[in-house]
Amino acid sequence: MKTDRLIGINEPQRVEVELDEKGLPVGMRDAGYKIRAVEDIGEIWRIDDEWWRVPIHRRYVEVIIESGRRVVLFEDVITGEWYVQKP
Amino acid sequence: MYTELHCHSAFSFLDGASLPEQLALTASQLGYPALALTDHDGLYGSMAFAHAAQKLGLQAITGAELTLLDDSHVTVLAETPEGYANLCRLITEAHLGRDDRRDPRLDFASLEARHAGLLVLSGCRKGLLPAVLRRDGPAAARRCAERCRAVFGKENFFIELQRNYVRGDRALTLALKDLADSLQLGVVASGNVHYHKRERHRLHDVLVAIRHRTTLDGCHNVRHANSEFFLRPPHEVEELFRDCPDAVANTAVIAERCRAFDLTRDLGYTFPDFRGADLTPAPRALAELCRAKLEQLYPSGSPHRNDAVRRLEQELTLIEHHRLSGFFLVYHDLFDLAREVAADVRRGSRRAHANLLPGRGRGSSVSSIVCYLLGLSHIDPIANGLFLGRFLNDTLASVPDIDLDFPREIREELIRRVYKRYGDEHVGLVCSFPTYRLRSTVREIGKALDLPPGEIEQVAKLADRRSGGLADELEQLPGFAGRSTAPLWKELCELAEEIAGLPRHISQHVGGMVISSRPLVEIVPLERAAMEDRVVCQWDKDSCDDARFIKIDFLALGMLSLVEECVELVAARAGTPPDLSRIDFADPAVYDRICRGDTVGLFQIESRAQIQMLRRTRPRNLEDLAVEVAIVRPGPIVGGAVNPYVRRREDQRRAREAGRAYEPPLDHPLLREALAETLGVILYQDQVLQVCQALAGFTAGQAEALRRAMSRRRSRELMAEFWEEFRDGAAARGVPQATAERVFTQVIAFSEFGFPKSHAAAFGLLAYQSAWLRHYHPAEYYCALFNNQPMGFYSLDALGRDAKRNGVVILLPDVNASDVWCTVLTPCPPLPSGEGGRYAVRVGLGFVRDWSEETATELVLERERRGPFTSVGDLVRRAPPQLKRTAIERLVWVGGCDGFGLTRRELLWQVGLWLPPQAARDSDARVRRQLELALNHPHEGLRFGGLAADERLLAEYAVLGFAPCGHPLSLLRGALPPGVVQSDALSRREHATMVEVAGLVVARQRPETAKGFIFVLLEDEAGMVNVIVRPDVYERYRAAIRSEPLLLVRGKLAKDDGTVNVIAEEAARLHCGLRISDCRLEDPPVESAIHNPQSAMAFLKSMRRVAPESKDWG
Repeated sequence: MKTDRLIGINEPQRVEVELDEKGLPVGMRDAGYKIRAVEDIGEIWRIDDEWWRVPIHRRYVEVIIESGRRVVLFEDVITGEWYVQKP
Repeated sequence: MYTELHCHSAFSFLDGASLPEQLALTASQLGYPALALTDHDGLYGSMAFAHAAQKLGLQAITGAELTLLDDSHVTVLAETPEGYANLCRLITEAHLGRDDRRDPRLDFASLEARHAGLLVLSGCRKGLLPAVLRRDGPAAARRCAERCRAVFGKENFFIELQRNYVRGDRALTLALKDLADSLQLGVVASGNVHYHKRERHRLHDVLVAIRHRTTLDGCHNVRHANSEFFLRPPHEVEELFRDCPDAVANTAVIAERCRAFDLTRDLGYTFPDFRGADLTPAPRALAELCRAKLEQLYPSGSPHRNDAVRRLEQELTLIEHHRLSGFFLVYHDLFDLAREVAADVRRGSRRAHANLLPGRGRGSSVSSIVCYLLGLSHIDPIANGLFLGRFLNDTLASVPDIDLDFPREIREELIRRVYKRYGDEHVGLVCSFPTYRLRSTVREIGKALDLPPGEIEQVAKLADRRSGGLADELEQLPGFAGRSTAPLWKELCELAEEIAGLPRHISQHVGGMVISSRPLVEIVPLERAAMEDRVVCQWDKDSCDDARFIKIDFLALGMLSLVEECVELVAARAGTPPDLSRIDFADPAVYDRICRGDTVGLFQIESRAQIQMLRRTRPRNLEDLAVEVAIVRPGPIVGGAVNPYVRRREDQRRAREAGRAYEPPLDHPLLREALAETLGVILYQDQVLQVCQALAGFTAGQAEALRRAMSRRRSRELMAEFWEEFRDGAAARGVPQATAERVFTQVIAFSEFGFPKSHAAAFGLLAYQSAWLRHYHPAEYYCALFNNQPMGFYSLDALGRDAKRNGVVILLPDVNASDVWCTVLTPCPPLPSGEGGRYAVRVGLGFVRDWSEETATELVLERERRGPFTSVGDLVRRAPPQLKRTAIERLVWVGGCDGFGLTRRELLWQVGLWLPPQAARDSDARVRRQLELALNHPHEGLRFGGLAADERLLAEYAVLGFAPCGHPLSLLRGALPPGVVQSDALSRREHATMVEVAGLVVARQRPETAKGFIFVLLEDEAGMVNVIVRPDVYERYRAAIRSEPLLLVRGKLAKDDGTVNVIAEEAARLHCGLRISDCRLEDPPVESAIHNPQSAMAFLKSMRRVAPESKDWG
């Protein structure tokens, strides 16, 4: 087994989300799993950084999904794609 | 309705990316009813903001974000005039009470002691409460809030809630809200705005990087996390705080309360009273003073008496009408003070009897007879036909300026005395806000973006500002084509556009001073200037003008110091000082030299452009000289006045020689009175107003509005707004629109810098006096010129050689003959080189590199006490201890010890024996030195040869920065490409022939008015050559033209009515043995020191290192 390789951990995963009229997620489906409804929305924040290199513009939303699990989702503002990141 | 109460502009230096005006405009467009400006520890932009807002119908709230001792912030807003005064005092305390002037902090206790009329908000994420909450927990925060409530009152203290989508905001605002609820304190929403639109967040990030002197990557932790600190539409904020409607409602309540104070209305500034105000009412006191003086200056029977009496009554009426009598009397007091200061400064000197004024009026004040009678101006406005309008008229919206020029040392002392007389709290200097220039922009943003330093430096050095912006400019630079779209460079170009015009830091205005009867610290905050003991107010000249402050300009004028010293030196030689007010002002010998363009080193008329102008316009009296001073300025140049004036002047001269009358052509007959004396063109600022009055029927009030517009920062836009009034007024007088348009272009050209006539007259007079002194007392003049550097257009190097051309030899410093400063030698001693010269000036020891004025003084004192130095050993023994080995060596290099009878190499060898190099010197160095003295060093007598001419010249440049004994070109002459023409031979060549010239670059200019043309002034051993570089040629040879100290230029000779120019086709670094083209050998090579091309190249290489800096302007 190779031991000298660096691997990224906790890389954000693409998710599909369903949005309400304000653009906030009401449901998500991660990597082929079933759709999970969003029970509650926590804090919303935004990151704009690295604009001089490969720009990062993200809108983060902290949600509680139906299982009661806390999940952080973010939208890449440039592409409109959503990702999930473990808190 | 939401109102923004926390907003930073670019005046939160390096923490705000928009100008106050941009913020006001955006707020108004977004529908805000009011906006508060709360810059860090300052009200720098508040006045400009208040006036911009007023124009837009927006309520401007004045406030600041104060930094407390623990680095936390608190937002403070002025509710009432009293609150404003307290705010000013608090900010002043934060600045003046600190050791580091760049780190203002306020003790919270001071805020507690002085909070009346202020509304206090708990601050941003770094705010008072959040800081305590984070550091000491909720209980401590609660205690802190309770204390604030108790001190400031429940009504005046609000807990600030900010939501900028920063992670952690939610928890923080919830905690703060709980705190507020439990203590029944009000909450208030705020946006912590740092720029007017989202796109500016990049610039803000860059500013933060610049502030921390690092790159964008390097300041990750202190940069804002996102781009949410812009001025957002009010409804979005209301939505953000939907859960907390009180926070939004309170913003409106606070805004309403702050209506009680309006910065444009409630400042309460008054000018101090004159001395004796308790005895006589001001108008009477002024009239009595003036009338008494009028009897003296215009006794009955004198030609101008009737006009003078009429003018005085007219002015007195106007002055009383504007209630300015007291103001003039205070001015008179100040001038009396200046007289005292001048008498003290000159006491004991010979020039004390020279009838010198303490200072001189300049600017429009000179046109007033009241100023003349009070002694504020020294020009008779009646005899000189000076127009009053710019200074005083019926509808004066602001107080008139009075500008006074003083010799440097008098000005310094005067400023101190003014503080003493009116009190520290009542006096402040006007500040200025330097903006980013292209060079600093490229360097600082380039560093933030982490671009390669070498390339950044190259761009910073070579780039010129141009209308297309930096991107356009990069495309033109060799090696940078295509970069403007490359990553990072593209950002650099875009950000450079955004940063243009933003203030960079606070600095001191050249001379403006503000005096107030009410303590100034209650009207505008004060802070320390970079110069010790100086205090500046936080407003620049435009803001002070808006505040209706009376600004007194005390300006230091180097030429006045020079004149003082020159008069002193003449008095020392001749016994009596010349009285410069009674010299012959029509001396043909002086004018002949001026007309020849022999004016290097004179006041105002010495520049390259001026010399060319003089040869064509040939001034013959003071009035002509006033024209000369005024004409080479952006206003007349942009207005297209220069060429017509010169042509007409020549026509006029020919007409006079032929005995014909000359009528200058005018754009319209209505302009005759205003423009006849300047041959139909606008040369003076006052003519701008006269023209508007004559052609377009402007009232005095309109003219005054125009005058104000003319002197502001964005003068061009402001003046252009007058077009419709001008057109309609002109139409009403039957002036065709085409004519009106033509004249109006000349009018708005004066948005660029121009001179009022009186200013030009005052400067013209001083120019003449300097010419007179140089003509009749050349040695004293050049000596004073050397001692008063830096001033004027030329380097000491060029001035020294000009002196030599005028028969004044500049002698190298000598340890036994030199004083601290330069001295005149009368009579001129016989020189070893046998060179001619009737006069000589000895360079002072203080001019030697590494010698301070102090060291030189001590050495001269020692010499006076115990006789001349006899040897190197003697010098080393008796020299002041702070005189280091390198300093003595430098003196030896330039022949300062030649009198000891050894060659310079031998002397250097001896210096080394007495004073070993730093590394070899250990603790017993002193002991060792003592031993050697007694025994004579065994190696003392070694023989070495002297320095060759080229080595001497290089040494002079390296040590003194100038070479009084020779010119590099005279040494190189034999090794130069054969076709190179010496400057004095150019006038014998045919017009339009191709020539090659070489020389030392004295000055490079790229005037904004010259459409990209570059002017380079080259100097060789015989004189100067004017080189004109077209933009296309410049692009090809930019690197050489911009940065090489010695140039070889090939171009076409252009001769026109006494002026000789070379229109460059090619330019290159001077390089011996290599030719930029084939030129026929026409002149036989001159004898010179360096024949060997190899050593010529080595000399040139060294020369490039030590050549004096040319005087370059953008």
